[in-house]
Amino acid sequence: MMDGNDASQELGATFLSSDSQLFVQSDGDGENSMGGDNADDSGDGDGSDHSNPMLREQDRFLPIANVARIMKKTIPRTGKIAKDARECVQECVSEFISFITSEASERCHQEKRKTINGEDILFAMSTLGFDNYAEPLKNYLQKYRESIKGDRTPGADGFDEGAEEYGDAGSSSHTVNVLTADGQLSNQQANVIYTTYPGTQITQFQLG
Amino acid sequence: MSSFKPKLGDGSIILPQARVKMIMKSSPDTESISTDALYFVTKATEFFVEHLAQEIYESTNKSNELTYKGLADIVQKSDSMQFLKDMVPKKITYKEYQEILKEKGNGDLF
Repeated sequence: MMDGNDASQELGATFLSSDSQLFVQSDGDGENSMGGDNADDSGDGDGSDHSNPMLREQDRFLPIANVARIMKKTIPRTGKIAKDARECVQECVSEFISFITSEASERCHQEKRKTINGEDILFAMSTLGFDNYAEPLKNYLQKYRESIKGDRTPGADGFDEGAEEYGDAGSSSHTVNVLTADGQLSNQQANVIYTTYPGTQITQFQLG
Repeated sequence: MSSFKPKLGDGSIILPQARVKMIMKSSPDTESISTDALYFVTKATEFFVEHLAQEIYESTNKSNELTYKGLADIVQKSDSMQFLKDMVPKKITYKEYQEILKEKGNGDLF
């Protein structure tokens, strides 16, 4: 219980009020808030039900540079993104992925199917309040497929019309269109290794 | 919220699909994921980042900085962002916390 004396030591804790979770930061100084570690009970990787304990901390999130880049494109060039905002969005994004995936996964499971397909994802998005994403996603997939059609290297599997399952172990290399830093689309050869694995076994691998 | 339209040009991908797939795989009962599904989730995630940034920007009257507080505010307000409520708790100063304690009595909080 807080005596109020050396409260600054206790400020990392999250306090629950009856309405919502509150997070205490140090008085009057936003810069020194304990913002780095936002309250996140579900993802600390210590074997809780929601996270896979084998995923390293950095594997549970998307690279912050990519996330920040997308955010920057949305605001004027002179805009800034606070560090704690950026880090929090990075965490929220993983949560979003899990949110959509578990909804789609559950539906698949109920229908006794093993592979989550595109329709499952679109359906999950509609159910969860993101139905405005569905149309753009379908359009973008079409554009994406058209743009890679001319780039297939011999022996590559490429993206076929239907569902290509990641059920079998193996790898394929594939050329992708690379969006470079200045926003130009260039047809660079990039080896994308798809490492697949059976069942629920998770194998850690190094990217790039 | 439903007025969101993605601005990023074509169908190409910015976020790493392999990492998205890793995160998806950590969901229970997830076995295989089709290429279409992976593409949709990756692109949707990009939209989501854009969407969040846009909402924060607009709700803070186009202030030049996207802050944690801006994020916390839109998460609390928006229906579709409710799933993030616990991830983006509002931050309060210790003074404010003391006031809440006084009002509600210690027993209610723990």
